Amino acid sequence: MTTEGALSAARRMPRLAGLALFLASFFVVKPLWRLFGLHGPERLILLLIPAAAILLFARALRRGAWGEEVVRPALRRYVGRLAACLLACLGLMVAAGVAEDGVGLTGPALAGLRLLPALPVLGCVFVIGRYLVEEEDEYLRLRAAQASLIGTGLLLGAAILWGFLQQAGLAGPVRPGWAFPLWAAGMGLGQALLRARA
Amino acid sequence: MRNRLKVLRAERDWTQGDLAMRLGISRQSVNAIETGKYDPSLPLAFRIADLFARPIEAIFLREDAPPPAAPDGDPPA
Repeated sequence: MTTEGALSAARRMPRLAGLALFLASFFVVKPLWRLFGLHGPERLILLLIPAAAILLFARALRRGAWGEEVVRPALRRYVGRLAACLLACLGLMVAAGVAEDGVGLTGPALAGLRLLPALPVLGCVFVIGRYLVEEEDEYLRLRAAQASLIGTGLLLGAAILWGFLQQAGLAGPVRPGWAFPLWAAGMGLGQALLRARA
Repeated sequence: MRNRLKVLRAERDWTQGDLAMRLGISRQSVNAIETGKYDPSLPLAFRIADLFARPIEAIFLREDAPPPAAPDGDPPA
């Protein structure tokens, strides 16, 4: 491996580690709750795992972990805003958890608090839209738009397939909350595919 | 669409990064244009033409166009 190649690989490491940690946190947090027998507000401390992953991933991206010499301002703003939205979502989920388990909040107040994390998730969609508006590099803008179409196509495809499976009694209901993570994962996959083809 | 971007860049001893910086675009964009995977918009094509001080049609060629005559002693692409 050349020095440049080694440097590029080293720059990619925090990004890959952050991404792996973030994806893993979808699957490890709940089993860890069970493993340690955590039921009260103390279980929310494990949400520090995805929070750390978001920070690691965002920091790597803002420092040019895609291998670019200059990180474009629109990309820096996008990553910063996205990380803020995701952290706000986690924070509000923690707040709702503490209010329910710790403080014993019930009724409309708890329902309202539980709805609050939806706002930063909507914010994520807005942030992606802003990136498409603010990115001045037409090729990168096209690639981001194509990636979001790939994500949309994947989500629609999955929804159609699941709908028929459910109608046939072969699959159970799925929480609609998975729509955004699936769309985002499809977008990430789309970016990776487009990058590989470039 | 074909283009002579790589040749013009090589004549000036510029890397893709150098050209990207001069045009205010990403290195990925330069690479995609050079390899014919992306055709730039007209405004970007004009910026490229201005940078190399050549008319657009001396840089960007139709797919079926014959190789251009070398202006100013340039070797053909």
